[in-house]
Amino acid sequence: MKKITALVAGAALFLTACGGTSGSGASGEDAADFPSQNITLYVPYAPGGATDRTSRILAEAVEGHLPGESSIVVENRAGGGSVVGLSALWNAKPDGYTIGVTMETGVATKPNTEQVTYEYAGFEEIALLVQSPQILIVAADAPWADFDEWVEYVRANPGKYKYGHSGIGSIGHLTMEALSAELDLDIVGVPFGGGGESKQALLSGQTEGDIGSTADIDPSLNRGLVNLGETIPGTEDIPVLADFGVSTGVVPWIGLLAPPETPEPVVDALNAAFKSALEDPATVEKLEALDLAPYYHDGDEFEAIIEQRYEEIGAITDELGLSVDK
Amino acid sequence: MTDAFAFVATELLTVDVLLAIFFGSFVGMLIGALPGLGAVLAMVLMLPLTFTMDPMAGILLLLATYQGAEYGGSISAVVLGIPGTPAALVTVFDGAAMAREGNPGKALGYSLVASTVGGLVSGLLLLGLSVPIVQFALLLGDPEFFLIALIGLLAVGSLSSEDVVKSFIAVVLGLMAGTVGLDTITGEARFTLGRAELMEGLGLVALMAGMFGVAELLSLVSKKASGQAYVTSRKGLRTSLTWREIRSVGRSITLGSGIGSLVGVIPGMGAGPSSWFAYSAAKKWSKSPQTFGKGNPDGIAAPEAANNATVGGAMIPLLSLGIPGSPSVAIIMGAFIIHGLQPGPGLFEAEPTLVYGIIYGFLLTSVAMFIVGKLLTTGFARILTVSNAYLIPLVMVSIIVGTFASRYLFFDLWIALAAGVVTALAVKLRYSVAAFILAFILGPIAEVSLRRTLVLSDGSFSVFLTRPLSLALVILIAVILALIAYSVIRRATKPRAEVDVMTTV
Repeated sequence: MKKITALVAGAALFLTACGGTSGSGASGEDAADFPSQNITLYVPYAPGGATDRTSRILAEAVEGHLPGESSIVVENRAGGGSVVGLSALWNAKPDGYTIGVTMETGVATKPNTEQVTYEYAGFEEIALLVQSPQILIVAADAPWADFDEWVEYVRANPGKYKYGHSGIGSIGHLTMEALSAELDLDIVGVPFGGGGESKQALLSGQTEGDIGSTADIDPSLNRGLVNLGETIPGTEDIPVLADFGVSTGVVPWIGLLAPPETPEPVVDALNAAFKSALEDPATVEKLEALDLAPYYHDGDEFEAIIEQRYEEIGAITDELGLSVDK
Repeated sequence: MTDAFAFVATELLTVDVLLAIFFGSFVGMLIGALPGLGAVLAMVLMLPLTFTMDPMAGILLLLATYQGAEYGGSISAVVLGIPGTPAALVTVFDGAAMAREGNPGKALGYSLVASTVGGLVSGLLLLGLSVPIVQFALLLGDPEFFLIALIGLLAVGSLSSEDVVKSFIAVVLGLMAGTVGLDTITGEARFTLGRAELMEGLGLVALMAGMFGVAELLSLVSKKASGQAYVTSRKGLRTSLTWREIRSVGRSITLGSGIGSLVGVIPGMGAGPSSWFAYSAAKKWSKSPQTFGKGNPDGIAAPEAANNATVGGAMIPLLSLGIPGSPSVAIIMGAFIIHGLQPGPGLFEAEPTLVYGIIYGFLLTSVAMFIVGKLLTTGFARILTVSNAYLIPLVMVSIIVGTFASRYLFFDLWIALAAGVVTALAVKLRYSVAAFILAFILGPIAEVSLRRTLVLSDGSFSVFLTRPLSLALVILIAVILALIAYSVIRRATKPRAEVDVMTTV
């Protein structure tokens, strides 16, 4: 009986410990000593997804570049398309020991489409880190040799072409909407719960297109028709929209934020650590193996990119009737 | 093939790999056994370890953790009556009943044997029948997912034959609760009260912890029996089953393994619905359906075989097509990708040793789960010999820790508490908690796949009749409804005959 009690209590302790106690930075600490303890990295998405995966690799890679013995502990704060995680980051103690990653969904899309409890421009931007490809994928035996033929087919069959994306307001959905607006196409986006479901729908013939990354492509099943962003190492064989004279094009990125009012020296220290990690050939190799490319921009540039995307996405969501009263 | 096997065997039977498998089974089981903590959390804790391991050991570590957690979930379901995961929800009905009759060891024994066989069967299907199963899976689409979920919902009515009206009220409330959150099709927030925590819907873990855990604790406390324990005799702790007992649940295990493997293939369905389908089928084919819910071994064996079979089933689309059908499988896919490997047909060609090693290794994880389960289970069963005065506060603490750790949201603790208080009252009024929660799980699957079907078909319902598998399911539903109507009429004409409307489903 004692054993059982001890077992249960021990297990509970173990889990509490594993859960990680965050945001308890030593008070009154000199910024010069930063970091003197482990840093918690909020990932506002569920474990297993692409952003989670990338964040974990970056967290591991940056450890050698931080002064001192500190490591970075990933904590998933999923929910609401990253709104839950960013709200938690907004309210975290601004001491640099709690930072978070974000994609444009959290800082540029959601503030347009929902009442969020944070200000999209209010975070301390640390750096932009990486970009990933976003590809319109079609079945291996699809009749279109290239994007031009696809446009021709879609023009000839208005309202018939259906593609799956990972949710209303997702980067893939908004880019396809922008593309449709630019080329005056009539296509139907079908929302799915996640990448797995929309890939199944493509392979089973329910849809004729899927938005995904190179990791979703296997030559015997499907192929990338057009890259909706920029060419990065590993995706050279897939043409980008610009090759066809289209000006739409979005680079999905992952950036790093700190809570508002995090001291500047601390933000700078974090920026330096991530910057040097992204310049480390070993890290670059790891990222490129995952079809991610370093996309370093400093905090000010990152801030400007957020501002610009917030405006651009606002225009699309206004058009789609998705915007919220601001 | 035999050469390939010999080669795979030398890669597989290394100290590293075997250690990884046993360690995964052990940790998975322990975490799965805590209410609220399931396979996903256990696998996330393991994930960083796999970064530095070689791919085969790393992925088998995750698979062993996954399997262990699926069985572990039944431990808290049986022993505490709290389903740690949706997959273990159905196991509560008969597992907890059998445990409270003084046989927690036996209930866990049935669960362990069924889980092991379920894992093995799905592993063999993964090894031998991947190709036809994948072809079958690609015939399925949203129309079929909708109809399958609808059949599941129809079967929910069979849960409570005592008061059909109250059972249906519970179903409707469950369906309503399932509408909370972001509407997938339009992107509109529904009933979220402006809270980001509700955008993904009410937390299932929090609801289950509240409805089964908190409510049960409240009713225990109110019974003034807090000095007693559920189990007083040591005999009840024995987990070994006789050969005759195992044979008696053979059919349910077979049903559960088959259903679990197939449902595992469907993306977005998962172990919760799969164990529910297995339970319904076992009850339908049982000679004594009236004993289901009262400690019938078939009611433990079928869902437990199914939830472990789901693991192997879900590996089929992952390895064959690179499709992760559930969050847990997405984590395994992540481990592949982090090692620079991309699951799919290309991987079979590029790395056959690795892929077959993982498949054979998956069979080993089932065996390891059995061994670790044998060693740990008696200890878990002994929890019920603890006097309620100690047990209740301990369980309460573990519910709070588990609910919080699953999403780090304090909001979920309030949900659990509120759900617990409401449920304690509802149970007194004899409403079916299980009907509510099953409707809550199946409702959103049915809703989204129906609406997506109609988006894809430009609003035409004829798609349900023009797709062959969909048509077969429509006919099946018509037969089920006809059987219900038949028995209703028969009961109306023979008012005193002992025909139960809902058990025909």
